[in-house]
Amino acid sequence: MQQIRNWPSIQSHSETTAESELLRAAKRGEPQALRELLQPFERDLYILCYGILSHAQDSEDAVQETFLRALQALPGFRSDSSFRTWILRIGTNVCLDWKRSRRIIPDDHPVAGIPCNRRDSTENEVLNRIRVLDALSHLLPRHRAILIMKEAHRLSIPEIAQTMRWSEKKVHNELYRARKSLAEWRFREMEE
Amino acid sequence: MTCSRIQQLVSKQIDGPLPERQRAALELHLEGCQRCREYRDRFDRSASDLAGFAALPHPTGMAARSISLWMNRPQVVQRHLPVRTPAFAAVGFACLLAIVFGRIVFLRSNYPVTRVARDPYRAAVNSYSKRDDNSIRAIPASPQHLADLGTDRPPAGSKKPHSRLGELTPAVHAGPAPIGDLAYVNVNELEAVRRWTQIQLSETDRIRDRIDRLISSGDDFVEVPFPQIAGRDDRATRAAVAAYQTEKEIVDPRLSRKVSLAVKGMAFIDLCKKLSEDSGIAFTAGRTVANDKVTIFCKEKPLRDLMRAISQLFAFGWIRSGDPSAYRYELMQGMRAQLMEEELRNRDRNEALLALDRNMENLRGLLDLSPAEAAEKSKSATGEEKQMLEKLAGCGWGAAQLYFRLSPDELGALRGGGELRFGGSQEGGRPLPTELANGILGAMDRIGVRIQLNPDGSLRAMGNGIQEGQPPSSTPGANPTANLSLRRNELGQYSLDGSTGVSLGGGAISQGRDLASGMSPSVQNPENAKSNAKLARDPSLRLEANIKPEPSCTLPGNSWWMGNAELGAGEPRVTTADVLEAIHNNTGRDIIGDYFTKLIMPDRVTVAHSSLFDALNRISDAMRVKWAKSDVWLQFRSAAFFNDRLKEVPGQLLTRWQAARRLQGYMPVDELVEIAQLTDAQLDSEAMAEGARAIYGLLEWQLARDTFLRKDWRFLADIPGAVRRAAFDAKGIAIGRLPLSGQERFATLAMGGRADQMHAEDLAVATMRVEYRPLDSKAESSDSSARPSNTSRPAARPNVSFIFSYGSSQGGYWTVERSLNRMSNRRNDGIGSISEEESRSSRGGRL
Repeated sequence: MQQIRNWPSIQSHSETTAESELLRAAKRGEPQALRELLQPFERDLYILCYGILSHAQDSEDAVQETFLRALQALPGFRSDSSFRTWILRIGTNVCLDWKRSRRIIPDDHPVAGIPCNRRDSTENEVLNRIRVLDALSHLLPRHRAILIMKEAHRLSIPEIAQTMRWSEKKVHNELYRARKSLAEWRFREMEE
Repeated sequence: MTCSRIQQLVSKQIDGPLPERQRAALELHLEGCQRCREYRDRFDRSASDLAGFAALPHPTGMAARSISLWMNRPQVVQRHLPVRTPAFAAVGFACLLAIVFGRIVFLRSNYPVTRVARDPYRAAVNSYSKRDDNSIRAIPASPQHLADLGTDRPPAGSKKPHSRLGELTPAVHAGPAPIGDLAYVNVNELEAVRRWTQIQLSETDRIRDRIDRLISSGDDFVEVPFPQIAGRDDRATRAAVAAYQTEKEIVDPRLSRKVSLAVKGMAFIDLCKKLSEDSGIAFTAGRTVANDKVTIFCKEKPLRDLMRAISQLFAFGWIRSGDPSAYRYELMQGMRAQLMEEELRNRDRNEALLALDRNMENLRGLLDLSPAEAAEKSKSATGEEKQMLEKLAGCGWGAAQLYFRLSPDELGALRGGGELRFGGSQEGGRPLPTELANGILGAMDRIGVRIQLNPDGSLRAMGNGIQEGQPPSSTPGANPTANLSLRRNELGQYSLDGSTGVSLGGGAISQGRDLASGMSPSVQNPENAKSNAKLARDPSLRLEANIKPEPSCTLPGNSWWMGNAELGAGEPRVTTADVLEAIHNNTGRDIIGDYFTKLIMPDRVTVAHSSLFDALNRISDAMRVKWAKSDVWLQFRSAAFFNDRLKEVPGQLLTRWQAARRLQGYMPVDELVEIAQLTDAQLDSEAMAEGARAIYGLLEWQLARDTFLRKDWRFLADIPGAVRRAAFDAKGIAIGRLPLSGQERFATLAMGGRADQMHAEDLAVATMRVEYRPLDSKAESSDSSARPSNTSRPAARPNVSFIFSYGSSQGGYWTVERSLNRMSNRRNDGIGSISEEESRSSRGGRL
């Protein structure tokens, strides 16, 4: 209880003064501050959710639910981790919960396996993205999450560890497993 | 080191530099191990592929929506009990311990626990989260959705009509969306079709559907046609898919240009022209939508927002074509949307027919009564029962009896718009059961029909109020007749007309009335307060509104074809566009609405000192439109838009006819011929006719729309222009010079059902003449507002007469003349003359 009452005084080194002000205002429930606080994470969260759920509309919904959970838990946020890793953790949990609790409707992409020769064109960018989605769909949800965090969000190993509440060693191991699964899926694809 | 360990190090190296020893070992191994090198390449490839995710376009406004939802959640009042004394605190602590202990025991008891969320919002979220995908996606279509095509919709490409969480709260304006134009401005046509119809999707549509689900970038408000795929070759399919995806991903930066509009009832063809001029981007309206009219009031809106709002409201799509540097956009209504409208029309019609049938069922219990018994019983009855009994006491008895004896084929013919005739004396009459025949004659007696003797010895039937003569039931040779027809007052609104009568010798008399009517849902009250209940607490709609539209027209002073003053003559009227303008002026909101000619009394749409929400509900109900709020737009859509679209006459035609009338001082006959060629739906529409007179000053509109003369006008229209002019000369058109098809039509127009009795020699001398007496502009000023509204000064009555002459020395020479209120059939050789006045009450129109 004491800590909660004095939460503004507990600030991590990563939190700047401006962020701190923003957080304080957001905790007071000021709409503008809430918007400024959450809006920058729309992209990160959407990419994360899309990577895990592979479904645009579900991802949008998951992001909204993440924000709602974050809003509910915001008064309890103690700033002992960065806000970014905190909200990504919520997003990951939302998606993993969804994956666990709901029947997954498979997206059989008609474009799977289309070769990608010209990486620089927009067209192939899109095709490649669909192909990657296909590949991701063969991974475990937690592997999808950490791969997205690592490669798309450029999170460091300590940040991923903080987000997933794992040790750094476990992050390394899981990343390896994820990459290997992906590579093996691709080997199989090539053989077929 | 094993390969597995090496691959682990490869993965670790991607995440950061390795210690020197590990790096050296790794490099050494890789030099000699092909498989591990392949893994390294794969790992690298995966990393770069996934890095591309960072550029994944994402929808915006999610944070804003969540915050709005959060802010609007039901508040839970937290009460803090002040701790005043240590004793009180101790008691509290003990209670807390007891609760915690009890909770633990309870949870371990393995009883199913139903958690009751104290916060209703959380309850909603929890229950929502636990639903499976199917339950969420299966949003049932309902008639309530008819006009919701223009309401809050997600960007195209999303397969659900609403974001599931978004359903819980009004949409929050999220600012300009950076997603693709096509996705942004176009509603998903497939989704719209699925909501209303059960159309099987082709394989191509399935593929497109799946791709659309994957792509959330690009100008996806624009419809991109899926490439044609010939055969089932995989390569061709993949190429088509790739081409489609490429097209879908495009974003046209020019669409961020801002426009301000204030247009009332403007056709899309004109709107596109204006947008092209203002923005420099080529916009066109396809033939399917060119003449649809729209009212828009907006300030500084990005083009893509405007395009999307149009697409949302009308369920039209924008097609993009041309070079990437100069894309062209064409607004069109796809086949699916057209089918959807057709489906809505059918549903609406079926609902009306079902309502009519239900009303008829109320009569079924009274069918055992004879007309006399029904008359007797009606004296003591009240309310609805009295009305039903009165119907059965008179001319409705026979028709009602017949309705319940119709075969499925006869019912089908009735629904198809045909008139069912019963009684052998009628042309094409079906046999009438004996028990009904007697009953009908008895009913004729009761309503005062009498049979009289003519001076030449023949008998004739006379109508109500005649004292002399004998009752039909006691007159030998009096034949009962009964007719049933389904009348469509306005599209979607049906009445079952029944008439019974008696024929004798060469004459007949009948009397009819409507037995029941069925109102389609689209013409009933839209009940905006109910359908927009979720917006009642929207702060932006709780502001005070004072809406007072400025009238843009007045009703013409005299309905010359009726011979009396029109109800409300000289009174001001407003259109829906006037009302939307007033709302915009008062609130400053961006507004978009469809436009159909409909004149409304200003009092009905004037609101003072009311909340905007209430004002919108009241005004929209009065106008029979539905309103909705989407982002920053207030949208208005006619509740019966699918029927109204058929009735509306293109503005370009109306303007041209108006100009021609002004030039001549009266409506030139060529323009009347053109008007008569409009569709029946357009000509039958009372609202359109009223608007044509009041807004465009086309006072002779009634001449061309009259159902009595419509076939004659259309026959005239089909005659080539040079020959047609001869119709207005004294000699008229020589029918013998027309093609055979023209001669056949002439015979039908002149002789009706007996056209086959017209011989070649009759046609040899046949002529058709038209006499047109224009409206005296001095007598009937188009600006009737200058005259007091209570004046019913007689005005010159324009008229048109179609005179058909034919005959031969054997059969005699005949002249059939039809004009606005009269039809005569005369023999010109002095042998005899028959002239009859047509009753106009059963022929539609206002009479």
